[in-house]
Amino acid sequence: MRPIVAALIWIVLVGGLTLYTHTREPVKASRSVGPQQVEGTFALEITPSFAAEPDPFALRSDADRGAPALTIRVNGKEALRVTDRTEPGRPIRVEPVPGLVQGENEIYVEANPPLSAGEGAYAVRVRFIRDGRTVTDRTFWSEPGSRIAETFLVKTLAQPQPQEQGHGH
Amino acid sequence: MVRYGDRSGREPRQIALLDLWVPLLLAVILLCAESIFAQENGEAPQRERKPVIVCSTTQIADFTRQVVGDRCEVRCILAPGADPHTYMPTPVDARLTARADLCLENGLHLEGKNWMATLAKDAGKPIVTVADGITPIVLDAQGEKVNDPHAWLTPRNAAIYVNNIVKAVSQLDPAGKEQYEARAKLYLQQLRVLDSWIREQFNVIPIEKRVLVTSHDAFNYFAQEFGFKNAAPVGWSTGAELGAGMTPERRKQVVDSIRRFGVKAVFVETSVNPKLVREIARDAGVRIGGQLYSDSMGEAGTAGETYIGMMRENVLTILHGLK
Repeated sequence: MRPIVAALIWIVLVGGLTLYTHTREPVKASRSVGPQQVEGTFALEITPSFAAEPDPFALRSDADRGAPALTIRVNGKEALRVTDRTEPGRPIRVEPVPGLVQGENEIYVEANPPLSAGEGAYAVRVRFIRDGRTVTDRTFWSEPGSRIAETFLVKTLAQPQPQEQGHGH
Repeated sequence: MVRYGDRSGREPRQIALLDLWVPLLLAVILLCAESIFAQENGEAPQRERKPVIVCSTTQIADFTRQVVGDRCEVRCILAPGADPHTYMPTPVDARLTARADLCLENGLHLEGKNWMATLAKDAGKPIVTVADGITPIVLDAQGEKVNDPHAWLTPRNAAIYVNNIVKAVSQLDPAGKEQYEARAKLYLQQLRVLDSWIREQFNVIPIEKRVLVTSHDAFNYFAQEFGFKNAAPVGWSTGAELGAGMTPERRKQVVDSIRRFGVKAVFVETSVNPKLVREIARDAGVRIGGQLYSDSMGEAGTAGETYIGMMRENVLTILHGLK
């Protein structure tokens, strides 16, 4: 009798544990309060030194949108996507800048130099402007043959005194 | 004092432990038996079963591995150094294809007599042609028009292959799409850098000296992309298709081209018998510049075991031969 009782106890224990591990849901992340929007007029001005062109080596899984020549993302969300060839030296302005929040903001810049231009290095100048005043002015260079893909941080405070932080470049 | 025990004279504590261990042992044996039974019936646990992708050529297998990582099992029909034009599938290939969830082929009749499409059809498996979307170079094959199948020999076309593979594997395994795209983005940028590096390397060879003589007519896309004139004694295929193989006229044309352009070296290919090119080199009085990877990549452990490695080694061999 005792072995049967012991076996039953084991079956209940192991069965219960197996059932629990199969049915439990992953722990859901607690919801955090969303970042606050900032006040003021913000703009990004992007000036490539070259004629950025759609990248023939771009991923084409979303073919309907076309390969980008120039892309700007603010906090991971697309703020600008140029699919046509750009003019060298001509500034492209994004105003207002969508997706900015109070505190730190990460700006991602991607530009595709023409492949036919050989092994030269190319640059893109990016200015972050608040209420008509330039608060960040950065220039990014490409390695020969590769595209420019860089990020930088800007800190937007409640008062119009934003500061830029380096991002390891 | 009363003593509790069984007839064998064991202590009560020993009996209690035995009562607990016996069912535990039984449970473990049952679990093992169930697992073995499931494996014998081909019922591998769902979590461990990776999708199997069977590729026709080594290049396609390499592109696919770059995209899927360890999420899928990538198998290749052709061994390194094998010739896709003349390959004859074996029963082992048929069994491998029967395990596949997806088959990938180059297309454009690279696989002689469409052996990969036939394997997939016989096994009832889906097949994707990864050269779809390239701009084909049309060859004149004894009056007939033939699309050159060696499109992967430029990084730009390789990018089209990679995009087609991403699309195919994302349809096969939608849960992995994000990972596939992330890996592909990195690999596509490596191809972009490779393309630029090749242009930089060949820039030091004067345009009039950029003549590439190889075993068979595999380097048309490469030559067009990087400003070479090319010639080969054997046509677009080493097999028996229209416009394939070697003719005396082609051989004479190649020898004439070598002399006319003052070519310093000719090149043999890893997947083609080098005898003919050696004879031509002797007739034309030029040296063998080295061995190029064309229809197949190199053995594991060699510099040509990946696409980027194969292209890099080809460029360096050509540079060394023609400088």
